Amino acid sequence: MESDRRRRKVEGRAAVIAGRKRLVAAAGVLSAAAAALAAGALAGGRIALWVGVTAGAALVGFLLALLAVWAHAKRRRGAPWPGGPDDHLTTGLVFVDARDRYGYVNGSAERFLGHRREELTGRGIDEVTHAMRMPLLVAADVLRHGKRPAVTARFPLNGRTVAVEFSRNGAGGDGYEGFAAVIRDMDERCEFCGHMVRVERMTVLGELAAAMAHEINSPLSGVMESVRIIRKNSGNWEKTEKFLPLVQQGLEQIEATVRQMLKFATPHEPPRARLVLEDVIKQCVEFLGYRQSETGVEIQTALTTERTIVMASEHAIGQVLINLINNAFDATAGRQGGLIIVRSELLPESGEVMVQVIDNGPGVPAQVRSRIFEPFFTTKASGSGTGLGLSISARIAARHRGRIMVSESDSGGAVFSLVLPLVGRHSGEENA
Amino acid sequence: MLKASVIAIDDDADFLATLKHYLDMNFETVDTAMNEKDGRALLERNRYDLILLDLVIDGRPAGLRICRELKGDARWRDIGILIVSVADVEYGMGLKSYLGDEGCLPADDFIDKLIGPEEIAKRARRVVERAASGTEG
Repeated sequence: MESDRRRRKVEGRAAVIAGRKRLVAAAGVLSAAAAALAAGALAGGRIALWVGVTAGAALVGFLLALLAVWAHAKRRRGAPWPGGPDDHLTTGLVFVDARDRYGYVNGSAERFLGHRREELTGRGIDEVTHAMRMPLLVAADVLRHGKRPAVTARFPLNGRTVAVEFSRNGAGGDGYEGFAAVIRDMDERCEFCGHMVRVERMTVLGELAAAMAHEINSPLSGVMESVRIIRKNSGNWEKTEKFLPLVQQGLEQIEATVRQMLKFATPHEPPRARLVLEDVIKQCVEFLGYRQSETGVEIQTALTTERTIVMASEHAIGQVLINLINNAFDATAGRQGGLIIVRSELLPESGEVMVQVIDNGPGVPAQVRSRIFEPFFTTKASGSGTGLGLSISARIAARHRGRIMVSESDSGGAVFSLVLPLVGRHSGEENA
Repeated sequence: MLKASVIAIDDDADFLATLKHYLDMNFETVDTAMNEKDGRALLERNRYDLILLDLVIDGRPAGLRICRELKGDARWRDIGILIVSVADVEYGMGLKSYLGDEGCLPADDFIDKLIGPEEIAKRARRVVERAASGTEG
């Protein structure tokens, strides 16, 4: 069916090109006839007639030729030739027929798969080796036997991360008519997303900077005071020995604060590694501990006794948790009895681990829960948030094959749950 | 150790050997097969409580078909099937969600292969225990 459609398309194009050739030929014949007429007129000595006829015929011929060239160029812009009508698209398109054979493959799909369409069309999807072979085979099986009209996948392909949607062909009848695979380059989309991530990170850094100044200023005041006392009592070893350790302690505190800040400000996401999730949670809670005094909100942790191991970027997961905890502080700031609980729980049935940030603030209204992970959507007052934090967090979670969900706590506050695939766990204090 | 028999079908010899080591710690009888033919031969000869089935065998997602065929045959319909696969992690296909789709993936449970043989063996034990308690109840 697909090959017939393709054949008809090719024949149609050939007819159009033949028509254009005829038009140019007609223009040429008209010009030649005009020239012959002009020659005859000249022989007859009728100069004025010769000039008029020549000029008119040449003009008509020129216009006809111009029309043919314009029509051809217009056609080319709409559909490059030779090739598919959608070869200019960056989205790959592959049709697979009911007998699991490649049908139409567009130019972009050729690039993704690393094979020319001539090498694919008509061949079985299990015959040609490339990085998308297995997802194609799985999709073919699932769409043929399953009830759903579409399957999605996301995986690395020829050095790019692609998202593919496999959708059943046909109008949803009982008969299986094959499927179409639409391949999209997610890295290309992420160039914009990456810019947004940096904007969000700089905004969060800006928000943190004031509090960080306080974190640095307190020990710095102690250091300055200790140095002043040591200098004032120059030669007094008793005073020096008492205050010098305080100087060292203060400087170490400042160094730790700066190290944490630099860790967060790393411009690129470091590679993933096996992480003990509880350690990352503790670091984030400690990092944001200063907000307790600022907001009057208490933060508590209730973590699993087992140490759960995830394959993740510490930096990225830290960014998600900091974002969720910061949001909880914002939601509960100034509330009487404001409380945030950060808890973790194993989900053995699904082989996942869940981190929940629970607050007793006003909660997230049910009508906005579906939109809360959209970029630029915020429930905070204008100017106090970018509206990107949760969308970026959700994207980071998805990149780690996890997810973020929002629900309501027993007190009516918000519960944000980050779920990540578990790669292992250790009891007690054993190191991963 | 459970008084139960299980069979693991997977074409990855190293993984299968490690998985058998952990299954041996949980089940009385553990058999393995590296291809569909050997697996079917063992199924014809022995009675099992659970089949651990890799989704991809010999470079094809044969596990989907085998699962449907076994569940469609009265001789093996009651045996639990635990699908073990990297497809969800490697290709992000969300096959786990097809467990309820009887026409597509009528298995009893699904686990990501990358979680490791020890966790897979523990999950296998839970599936058998769950089935046993369901039968008793």
